[in-house]
Amino acid sequence: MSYNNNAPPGPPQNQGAPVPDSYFTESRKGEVNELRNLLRNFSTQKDMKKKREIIKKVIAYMTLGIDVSRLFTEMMLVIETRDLVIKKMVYLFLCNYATANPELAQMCTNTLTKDCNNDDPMVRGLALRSLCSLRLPQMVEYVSEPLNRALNDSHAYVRKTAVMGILKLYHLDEEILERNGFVDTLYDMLKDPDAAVVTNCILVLNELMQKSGGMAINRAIMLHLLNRLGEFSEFGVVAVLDLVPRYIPANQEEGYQIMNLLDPVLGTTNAGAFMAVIFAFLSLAENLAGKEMKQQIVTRVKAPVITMMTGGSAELMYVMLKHVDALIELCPGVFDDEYRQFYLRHHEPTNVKYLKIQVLAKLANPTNAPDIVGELSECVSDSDATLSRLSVQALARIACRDVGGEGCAENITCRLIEMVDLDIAHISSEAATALAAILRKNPSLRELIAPPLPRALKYIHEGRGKASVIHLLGELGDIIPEAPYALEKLIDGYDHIKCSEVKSALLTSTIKLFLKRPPEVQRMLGRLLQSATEDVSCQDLHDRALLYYRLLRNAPDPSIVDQVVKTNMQIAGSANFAEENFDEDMRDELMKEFNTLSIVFGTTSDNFVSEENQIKFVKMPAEHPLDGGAGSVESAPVNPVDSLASQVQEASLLDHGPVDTTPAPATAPMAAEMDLLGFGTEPTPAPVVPPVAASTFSLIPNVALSGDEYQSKWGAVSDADAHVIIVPLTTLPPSTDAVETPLSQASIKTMASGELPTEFKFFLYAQDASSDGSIIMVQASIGKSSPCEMLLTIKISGPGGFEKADAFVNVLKNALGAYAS
Amino acid sequence: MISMILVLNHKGDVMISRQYRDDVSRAAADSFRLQVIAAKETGTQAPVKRIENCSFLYTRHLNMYFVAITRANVNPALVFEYLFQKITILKAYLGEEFDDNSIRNNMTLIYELMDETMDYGYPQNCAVDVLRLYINLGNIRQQDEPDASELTSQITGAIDWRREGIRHKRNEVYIDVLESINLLMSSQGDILRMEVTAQVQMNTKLTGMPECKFGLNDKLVIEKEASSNRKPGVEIDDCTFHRCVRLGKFDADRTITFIPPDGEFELMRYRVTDNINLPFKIIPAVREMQDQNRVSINLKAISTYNTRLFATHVVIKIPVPKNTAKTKIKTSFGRAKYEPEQSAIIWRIKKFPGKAECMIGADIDLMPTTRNKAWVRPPINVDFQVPMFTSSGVNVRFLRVYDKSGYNTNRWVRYITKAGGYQIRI
Repeated sequence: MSYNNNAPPGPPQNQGAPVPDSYFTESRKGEVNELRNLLRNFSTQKDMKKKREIIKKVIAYMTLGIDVSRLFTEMMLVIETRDLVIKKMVYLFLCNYATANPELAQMCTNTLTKDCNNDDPMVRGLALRSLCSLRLPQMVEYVSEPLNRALNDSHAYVRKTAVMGILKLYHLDEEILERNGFVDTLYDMLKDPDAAVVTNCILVLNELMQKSGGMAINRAIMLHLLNRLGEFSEFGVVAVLDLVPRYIPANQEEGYQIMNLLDPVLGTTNAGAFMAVIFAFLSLAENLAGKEMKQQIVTRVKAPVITMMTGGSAELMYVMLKHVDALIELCPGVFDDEYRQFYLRHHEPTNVKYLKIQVLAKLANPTNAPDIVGELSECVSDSDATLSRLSVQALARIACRDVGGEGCAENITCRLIEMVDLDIAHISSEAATALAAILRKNPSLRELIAPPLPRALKYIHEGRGKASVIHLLGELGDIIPEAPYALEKLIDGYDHIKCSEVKSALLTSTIKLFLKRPPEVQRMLGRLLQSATEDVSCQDLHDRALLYYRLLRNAPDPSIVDQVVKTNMQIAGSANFAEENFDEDMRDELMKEFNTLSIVFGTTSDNFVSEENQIKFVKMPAEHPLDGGAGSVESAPVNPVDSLASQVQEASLLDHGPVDTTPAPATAPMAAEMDLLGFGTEPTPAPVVPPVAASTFSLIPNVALSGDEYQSKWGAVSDADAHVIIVPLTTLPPSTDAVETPLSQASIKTMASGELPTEFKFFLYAQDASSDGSIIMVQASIGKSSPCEMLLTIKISGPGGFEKADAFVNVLKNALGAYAS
Repeated sequence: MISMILVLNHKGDVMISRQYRDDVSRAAADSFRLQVIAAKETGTQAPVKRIENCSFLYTRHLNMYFVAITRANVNPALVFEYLFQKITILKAYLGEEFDDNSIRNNMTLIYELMDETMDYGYPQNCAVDVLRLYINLGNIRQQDEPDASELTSQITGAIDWRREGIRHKRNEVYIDVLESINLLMSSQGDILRMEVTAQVQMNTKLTGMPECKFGLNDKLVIEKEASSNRKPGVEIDDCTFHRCVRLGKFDADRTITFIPPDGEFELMRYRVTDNINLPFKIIPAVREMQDQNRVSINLKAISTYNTRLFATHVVIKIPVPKNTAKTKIKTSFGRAKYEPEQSAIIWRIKKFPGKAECMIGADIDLMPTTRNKAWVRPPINVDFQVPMFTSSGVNVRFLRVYDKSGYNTNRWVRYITKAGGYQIRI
């Protein structure tokens, strides 16, 4: 069935034929009134198709920008319908005009809240989404109640809508977060079984905490999300991957593990996800090994980048090229051997061609330079003037940088000279300018450049190019015999010169020639100075002419004039022109905004994004072991902003289960945070430790620890030094007591325990009986779902590495006896 | 995040506007119309345009503009992906060639889709198959209605590209390997650039949730199997996959395993740069005789593929100077004509047999011009299709379908090589 066939009430329409649509023509007076009449008779209308058609008309008007807010009352009456399509459209109308009619809108929210309890999850989601999108600040409190309910809805669709709803309300009223503890809820929901919900949680948290750089991440959260990466939709994957660049891995090994985990994503066809991986890699490399590693990474991603670039649409190609350009700046040389990929294709859009030309110039090295120069020279003859100019500039760049090896600069110079003679206005002009630049960098080419100049002066008409030729004539006056006479014609025709750039060049060059060959030039210089001092069209020119005139008249010695005029324009071979010198700091800043519009615009976001949309790039977690100075893991400095963030996140990870009521609530935050670690990586061996033989391992029977002590000791050991061990169990213990009693007999004390709907939780501790007397703290959880196993996260305050943890687990296993397999 | 999505027609009239955030207004559509559409900027300028503090990212479908407007520093690749997917979705609902009229007639449907695919500026569910389950007003083919509980569990969830309980009477898989060959040859006959980019398209009509395993004659795989009397495989430079493919598995042992979406989709793309068989050799000879204002062009086209095959739609475009007055063309095969609006001789051959040689000769008289401007000599462009031929040598070795019910599957494989940019400079 086709929707096209749902003929509107008006004249019958043919499917496919051009629609004489009355509602897309201009609004004639009375049409809105007509609609109102239709709406008034809405309830009497029986035909569902006709009903839909009326609503559709209203929406069509709205789309056109015609104000139909006058129909608000009538539309409100329609809201009570069972037809989902009509409902959706009415909601759309409502969201659009609610701010204009706040009182009326408030009236209809009853229907919306009622729909939030509908049996159909689609309707619940839809109603909630609309309710949150009304944009009425006075409604915020009213909405938060159904919202809270929806956050615990049984259906993921409603939950994900609710998560987004939090963000919508937040923008109306920032305090709502605190009043409802939404931030904690959101962190809790990162563990939601549905990936779409988790995706939205990440997005919302990022925006809520924009000021502090986005969602707070710690190891547990990061690993949890990365391990579930396969479940996310492609857009969800991007949300997760966008977190990775801000995460500082706990140690080298973890960094590499994350990279290995992400590597397969490079095969995706979604360019967004693909770019996110590259950024994640580059950022991880910064934490691990720095520059060298980046080189490896860029080499690794080269092939997929090229595939992505050539296989996609023109728009993606543009974006990819911009990023490739940035990668080349970061690691010059890596893309060099793929230079053929950057050759122009006939059917590509111009913007892509322009970029390719610019990139090509950066790829030149002694091996490929002849090919690249050949290709660029072909592009010069393109019918698009901008393209050919860019090609000439690219050639000049290769010659100036002298990256093309032996003979390349000469080759380019010869080609440029041919182009000057080509007599196509823009090409000759651009080539002349290029020659002027090359001469500054490479004075040895002067013999080569000199011959065509006098004739070029005749047919180059474009201001800039002409000025360049005149400049060159002045510079090379000593080897071009006819130089003064070429200029003389111009001086005689001074009044016909329009372009001030040409006049200035003429003035300077004539002076230079005068200093080189005074007898020939003296008279024409006199005429030129006279015309120029009388010329009022350009202040700068006028002043300069006067300056030269007075210098010449008053200077006791011509060498002084010589010094003034003949400044050394040459630049040492290795140096760049000032405008080409890329600022390192600027580039680093830009790389922090990789995979955003910043790279496309070539400037950092503070230049084009308003303050409230700025996102600061903050690396997390702050209490990072590799980050802290001089290897002192425990006392890593924590800056106030981040510690606040991490508190928020710790608090939010808190499980609002029975654990809360246990005597040591203070330990809960850390504990809950660690329970995510079950997904974590291999336990990492602690630094050099004396091995502890298992046989000598025993525990002090009567050890006591207060909640506060436990917490501080737990916090003092970094997460990176924790050991995660899984003990398989044969059967599920019936209660927490069944575990605690045998353990306490084995001198393992329980600080707190609790039963959650899905798992048992324990906070255990014990003291080593050996001389160092280190405290062993354990956070354990037993999942109620199969397979039945006990997940231990062990921290040891004091010396003792993996062996000690292992020995402890043996004690624990023995104690559990019946349960442990 | 995206603040607004607009669909405009070629004149810049708003056809669909969906505002997700308050920070841009309808006036944005006007500035886009004035600064991009009216300025005829598309194509020459970047597809990302900044107007004041708003960034406009846009793409086109036929003569319509799909524009995303944002004030934040978004991820551009992601936004374009979203726009492309949006167009894909609309194609699925309204047909491949949907135009302004179908947009207008299905406005409510499109607003529904706008709502489901994006919430508050963040992309949500964009999988056509799942959207179809609960938005089915358009002329999308009606599938047997799944019951509501099953339906809603699909909206979110891990395998969002396929729903459960699909049934087909006959289980069939069609595989199309579409290669497009890019060649750029210098006037001296040196190959400047040669590359094959290819797509593997699939159309699956399979029952249940089948697990598929797909194999090409990938060099790395064949070497590993190390069976003695096999032909060496093809060295694939790089490939990307549809998201249904288990990337981890490919990374580990280069097997391509997946649960396919129902219907048509692009399984993978690959790129090959080595050992490419060119289907055509083109040998041009161009002589310009300045004094007599004449140009003579001789061109030989030789097909290198097997005699059992033939190429179709061969079009060779030979550029001539703009001031061409008269042409005299002789061909051994096919039809050739001078087309002044393209300043080229277009030589069309409907069916080009394998291992054959065709010639064309043209004498061109030029109009005398006042200023002798050199002829820029644009490249010769060749267009063709060669069915059942892959210039990279890639072929499908197997496709295995495993399903619980163990049904038999019919498999059909087609190959086709097209010219991407096949250019010879003169």
